[in-house]
Amino acid sequence: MSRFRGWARRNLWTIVALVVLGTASVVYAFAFDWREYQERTPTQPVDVPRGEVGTLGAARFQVEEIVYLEGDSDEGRRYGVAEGTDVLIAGVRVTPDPEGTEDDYVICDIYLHAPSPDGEREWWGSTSNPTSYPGDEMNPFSCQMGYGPEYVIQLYYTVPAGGAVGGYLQVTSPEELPRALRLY
Amino acid sequence: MKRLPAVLALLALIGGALVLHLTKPSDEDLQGPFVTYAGFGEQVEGRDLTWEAEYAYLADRLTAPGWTGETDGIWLVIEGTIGSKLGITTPDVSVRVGERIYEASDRPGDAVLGDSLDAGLPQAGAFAFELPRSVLESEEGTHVTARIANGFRVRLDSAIDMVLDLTQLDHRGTAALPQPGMATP
Repeated sequence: MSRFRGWARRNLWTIVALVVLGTASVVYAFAFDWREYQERTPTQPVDVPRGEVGTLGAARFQVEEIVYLEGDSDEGRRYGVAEGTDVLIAGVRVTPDPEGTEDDYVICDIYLHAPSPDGEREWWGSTSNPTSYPGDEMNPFSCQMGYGPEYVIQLYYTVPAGGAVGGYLQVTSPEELPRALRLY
Repeated sequence: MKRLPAVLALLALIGGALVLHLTKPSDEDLQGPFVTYAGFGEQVEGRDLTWEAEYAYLADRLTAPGWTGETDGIWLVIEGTIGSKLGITTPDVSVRVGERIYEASDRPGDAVLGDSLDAGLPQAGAFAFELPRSVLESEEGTHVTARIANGFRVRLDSAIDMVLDLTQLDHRGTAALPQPGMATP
């Protein structure tokens, strides 16, 4: 033991240099990927409770209406929701950048997220109404927040029965990442 | 004699390095997929996909509403249920015969699985592969691997493999593809 201590004392600065250089190498190797992950995914979400308005960039978002049709209920059967599934219909009021011009076309995506035993699940809204519930027949695939008058986008999410419990609508825009909104 | 321990230590180090070199993981081990093997009638899970195979057979001709699939080769059909666990995904499904890889055919159009899957909403139906007839007479045809994954080249992600012996499968003249549809979630 004393021989090892003697050796360690004689080579102290070499050992310290190796530890510092090794740690720095690992940090350097992963720094780029870590920064990419942080900047290109919605790692800075802002929670927006129901009834409140969230701001992403210069655009404003607010959940105006949520309708939840359960396929295994009388209401769901009346509107043609498939057994074993639920359909969540969300109306989101979008107020694009009031100072934007036609050159400022900025897309945004609104996805439904909800917890599950396997982890958080994500659904994209369908562009057409999968039910006979009254509403828009066709919708744009993504929203536009760069310019123009405010509008309400109606989105249809088909999920497994009970799958949307505890969920939220996540609003992202490539221009605004890593910021995002979570509309409850 | 004073140098003997140092020489022995050096030889031990060289021997250790040689053992390490000979036993180091291959690129396939370091970058390859995490494979889950599937049989018939059992649901298996990858990181984001689920799969339950029901049946596999060969056919000379396939039919679906408004479509007839003639081929100079042979059709391999695998029926089952595929699902996504966490998010929307379009699975890549292929069959490896020896060194050759055949992607699932899109000739049948909407009559086969292969569209995007939504989380928790599995689809039941079939995948069809158009293979050269010669595989039935080759040794490789007894050990064919069907792979279901999130991409064509899977790196450090999960994949679901099924090993099939084509010579043991039912061989039908004409077979009707089942219409794909949502399975019970």
